[in-house]
Amino acid sequence: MSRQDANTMEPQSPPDARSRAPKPQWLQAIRQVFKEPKAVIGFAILGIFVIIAIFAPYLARFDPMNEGALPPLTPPNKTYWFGTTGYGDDVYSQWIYATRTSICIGLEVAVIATSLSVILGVYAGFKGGKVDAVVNWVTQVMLVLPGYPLIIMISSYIPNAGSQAIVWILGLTSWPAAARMKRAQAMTFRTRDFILAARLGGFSDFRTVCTEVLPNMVSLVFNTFISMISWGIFGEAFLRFLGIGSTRTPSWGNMLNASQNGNAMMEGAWWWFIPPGLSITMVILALTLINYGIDEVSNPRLKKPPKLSKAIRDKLRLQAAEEGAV
Amino acid sequence: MQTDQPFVQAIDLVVRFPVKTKQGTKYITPVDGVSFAVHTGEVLALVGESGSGKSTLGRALVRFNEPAAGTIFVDGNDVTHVRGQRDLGTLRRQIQMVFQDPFGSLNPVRSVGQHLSALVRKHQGLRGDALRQQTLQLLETVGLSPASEMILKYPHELSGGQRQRVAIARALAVKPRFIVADEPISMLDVSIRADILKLLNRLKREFDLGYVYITHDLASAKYFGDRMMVLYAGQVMETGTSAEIIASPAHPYTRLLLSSTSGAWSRDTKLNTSVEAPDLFEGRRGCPFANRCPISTEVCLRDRPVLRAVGANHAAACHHADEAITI
Repeated sequence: MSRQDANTMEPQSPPDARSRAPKPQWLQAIRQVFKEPKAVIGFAILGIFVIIAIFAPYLARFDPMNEGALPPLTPPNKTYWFGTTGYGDDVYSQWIYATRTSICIGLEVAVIATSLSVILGVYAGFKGGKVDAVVNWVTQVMLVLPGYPLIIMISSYIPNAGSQAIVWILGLTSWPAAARMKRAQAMTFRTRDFILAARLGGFSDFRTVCTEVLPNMVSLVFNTFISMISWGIFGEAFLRFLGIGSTRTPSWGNMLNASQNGNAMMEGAWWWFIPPGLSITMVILALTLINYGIDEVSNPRLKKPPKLSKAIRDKLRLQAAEEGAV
Repeated sequence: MQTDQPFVQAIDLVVRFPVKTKQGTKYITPVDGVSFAVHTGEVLALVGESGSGKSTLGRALVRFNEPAAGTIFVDGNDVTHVRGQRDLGTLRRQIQMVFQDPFGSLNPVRSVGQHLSALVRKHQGLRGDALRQQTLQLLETVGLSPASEMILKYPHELSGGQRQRVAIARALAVKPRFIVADEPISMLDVSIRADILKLLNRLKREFDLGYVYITHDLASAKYFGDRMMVLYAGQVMETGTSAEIIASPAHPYTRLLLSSTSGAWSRDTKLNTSVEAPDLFEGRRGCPFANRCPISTEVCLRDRPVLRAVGANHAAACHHADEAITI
């Protein structure tokens, strides 16, 4: 048909075509993630902790760090819901504020590490050549350096490291593995036809990466983000437990450290170390479940076959029985 | 209709790729001294088997790889070694490409509308409603209707033929004057191949487009191509008008290719030849087809044959082209 035809064809199409638009893939993917029971449980647990973190000042009953003001080592009762520490702090209030600190640190570490890994990994993988060689070399070096000793060493050079120092130490040391993954995936895109087509269209590399490559890597980026949150929370707890940095910030790691130093185990003060320990476990469990859920959505091979309605199942069973009889 | 100056002209084009071997880095030459000229409104069909360098040649024209020797002129400008965003952009506003695999050439996470409108916005400077209208019109032009529905679809919701139409629309969005079509129908269902070729033909007339049509299918090359160039191991074996090459092939390779086409009359007279792959390394001697050719002689192994006219608008690179040998 000619161009004139094309113009006259236009009004014939239904005017409400926009409203009947097929859902974009990312929306469908999100919906699918929320159908995955693992992910739902994970999001529920994480949600509780996030709510606690947000509303910490309203939930806490005492000043979390007013050492010595309360009777030490009181078991849980009506006034002190989770009991008190050996230094005379309310465990419940401390735990509430510690949740806030730990969740914040987790998120901040995740933002720093994920951005670094995306920028370096995707750019190097997409560009190739010299850029890739240099970035890859740095990544290799960072990968080879042993993680824990490095972090402990850096931290011990910073006197009284506060939350922010810990965030940067963890963020700046945890990107290499994730960057390697992204580099590998970005490399596979470099020679795909739709990338070549975008280059033919005259789009810059930056534009091509943003509009063509990254949308294809959303699940991997999100995956990294989630694992980095749990690494941030765990890493902070681990550093604090070893007594690195300031002990004046309420955090799960600091609570564990204090209970260790205060001989909570010997005194039988289980209420002192159970809340932070359990919280770390629960949050990391929740994040892992979310990651599994996303994995199952983004990787169709892990997906279970769909559950058929009872009528169809019965019919299939009958058919199978008949075939067996024949 | 044809002006004196060809739109795309290649002169002695050579493309080399390094290959690491145990003896050090060697070079293979997938395109070795190829010359041709194509006007707008004209179709040159590049025919050859896998590894004959036809795709590499097509990609060199849009400068996905840089020729090692020779020259490419586009619209009179030497573009052989242009570099950088701006100059390559200028070239690619004139030459676009349609890829072989319609499943790989569209981004799975972007809708048809997103594929096209970004290009229309960039190259035609339209915004808002005009942008939408132009995008819809592009879809209608390539025969995708109703366009207002198509614009919202994602590649996985389209059939192979529809995807290839979107890919063609994407090439048109730039308003090019020339299109390199790299086996645009080979991945498609047989039943819709003709439709796509008809579409390309209609676009040729409508927009006065020139094509380099890359294919391994002689029948479609005859249907769509005004002229034909048969490549083997990166060298031109035979060139001429499609009708003449099909009617009286002069090169033994072309004859074998023709006789292996399904339904060819000479099917049972086909000779057995070696199945050895051609030598692509630099510094090879003689005719690249010599080790498979049923009529090769000593001279074929020694000297590289040059293209010689065997008729009006018809040339073949064979030492024995003018000898009346039937195979």
